[in-house]
Amino acid sequence: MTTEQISEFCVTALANILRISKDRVDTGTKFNRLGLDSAMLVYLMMELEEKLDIELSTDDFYDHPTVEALSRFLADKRAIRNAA
Amino acid sequence: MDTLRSLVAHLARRAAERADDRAYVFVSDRGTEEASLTFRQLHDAASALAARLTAAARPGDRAILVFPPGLEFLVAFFGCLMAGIIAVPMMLPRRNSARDASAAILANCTPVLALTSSAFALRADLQARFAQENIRWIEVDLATDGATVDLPEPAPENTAFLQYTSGSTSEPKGVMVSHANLLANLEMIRLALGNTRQSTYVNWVPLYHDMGLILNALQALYVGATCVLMAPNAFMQRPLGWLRAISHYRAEVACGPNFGFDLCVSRYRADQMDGVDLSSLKIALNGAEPVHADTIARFATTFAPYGFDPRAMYPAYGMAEATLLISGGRRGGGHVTRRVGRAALQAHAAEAPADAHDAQIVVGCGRALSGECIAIVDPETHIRLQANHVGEIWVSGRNVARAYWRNDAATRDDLNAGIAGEDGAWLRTGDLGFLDQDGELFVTGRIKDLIIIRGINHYPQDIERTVQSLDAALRENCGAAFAAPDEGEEALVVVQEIERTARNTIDSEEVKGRIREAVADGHELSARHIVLIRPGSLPKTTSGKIQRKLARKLWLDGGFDEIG
Repeated sequence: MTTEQISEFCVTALANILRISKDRVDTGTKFNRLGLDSAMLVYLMMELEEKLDIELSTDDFYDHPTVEALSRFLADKRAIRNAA
Repeated sequence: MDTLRSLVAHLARRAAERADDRAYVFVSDRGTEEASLTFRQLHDAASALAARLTAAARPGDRAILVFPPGLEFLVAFFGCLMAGIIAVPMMLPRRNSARDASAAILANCTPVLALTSSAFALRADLQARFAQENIRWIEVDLATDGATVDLPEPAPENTAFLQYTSGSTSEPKGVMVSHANLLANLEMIRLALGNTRQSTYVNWVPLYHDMGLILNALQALYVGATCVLMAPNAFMQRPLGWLRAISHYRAEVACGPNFGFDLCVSRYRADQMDGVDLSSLKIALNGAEPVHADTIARFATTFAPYGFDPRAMYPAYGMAEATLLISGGRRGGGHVTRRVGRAALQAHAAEAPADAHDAQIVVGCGRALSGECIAIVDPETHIRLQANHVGEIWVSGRNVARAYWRNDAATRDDLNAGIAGEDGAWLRTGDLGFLDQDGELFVTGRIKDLIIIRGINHYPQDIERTVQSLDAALRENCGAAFAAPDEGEEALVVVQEIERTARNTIDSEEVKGRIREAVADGHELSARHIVLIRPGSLPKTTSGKIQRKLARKLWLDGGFDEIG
């Protein structure tokens, strides 16, 4: 998956978790600013783990705190794994 | 059960008699065993730690326990009990969160030690957070070797630990649970749940939460059963893993808050339940937040095909001030529901509903435990009320704590209240409910505007203060935070007045973003609905107190005009 596809998936998942419309999920806004609490963060992590078939830690979300940053990180992580 | 005077003595006896039986097992989210402790190993590890603790602190000193999920917490807890050091279980501060309840708790209990696991001691943000406090860090692991010292057995009236679950951020209340309180409630729980040493537990509730610690981890040890622990996050991610572990370990007892049972149903997937057999489960205890009849019904229907016995559903009621459990049913006895009228309930009477629209199902939380009394009392006059009258739930018994740590006013008012015309000291729970003619307790609401989401108590004034400190445009003492049902779950709503001068210039979306961020960081909550309103439109009493219940009703009815 490309960064854009991952980003699109994150936006959809976040809209579902936060119960808001997709156009309100700004990809440059920090997760906590979107109102994501720790339990919701775990839901998002689970969705991503299943979709991308990778193991994540909650720390990844603090280190890459926006959809944009996280998608880039996840695309790189998958690329590295697939190359190995 | 017997005459041992402390939980330390219970552990010593288990270690002597059943040395190699497993006390605790920690499993990963995939169900693999990551660590385990036999009774002997737990006893030896805790004894070795107790020796280290006595060299670093004096009996009666406080030690905070800050642990990631695992078994180290239990070594630390028992090490403190043995050394006579008062354990203070604390929630892990969230990374990047500047403010939460921990600062106020530290200021209240003035700990000299902080106990954590070796891996965790490295977390830089934790070190920074506690650096300014004069606290010595002690790393705890599961090693069973190390020098031991002879220590006196704790006296029954001594404080075993402080449980901070109540009180607002500005005024935290640490319940002083004595060894006598703890043993009294553990025995009450044993009788109510019908536990034996075959009563294997599977628990995901965090150990800093009183339900995880006392009802699950300590009760299992008290009866000599094995307690299988999993990380709270693992449960949140894969709730069915809890059920698979119950099946795998043939567990008899599983306890959690209402939302956990909902989560199992909403995440149910047949392909993840292959081979799961829940017929061993005798007690599925639902407590720590309001128990919903439809949650019970959905869970029973969904999991009956996997051998779940609906009679195992065990709604219960409790709080830290009563050590933990206050009321519960009988093993295998099933639970009681009752149809009552909404209107009558609001007028403080439990009566049959006037019509279908007026009907509400309330779930019985069992009866008073052995040796304990529950009274329903008028919160204003302190007069005892008769059956089927709604009033404040008051409790007396050997499980009720005698004091809050360094808080004389709350100790007097809430733990040593008196019923008009009667002798004796009572705990005021702050919850509303009624007893039926058989003594079954029904909890119907709260006197205080406490917000309970996912089993955690939040004080609205703390959230309102967080919001109002963000911007001068957000009027002080003119906001209301409350929980309201939203798409099948409790969601946080924040209603906040905007200063007249800022009404036309404010960027509402930007302000809402900052509110969401601050509430998530400071309170671990998502503010799902934020409503900014004109000054003067929030309902208040004549003395200027915010009427949160009325604000909640107005919001549910769509009665607020939003700015912007």
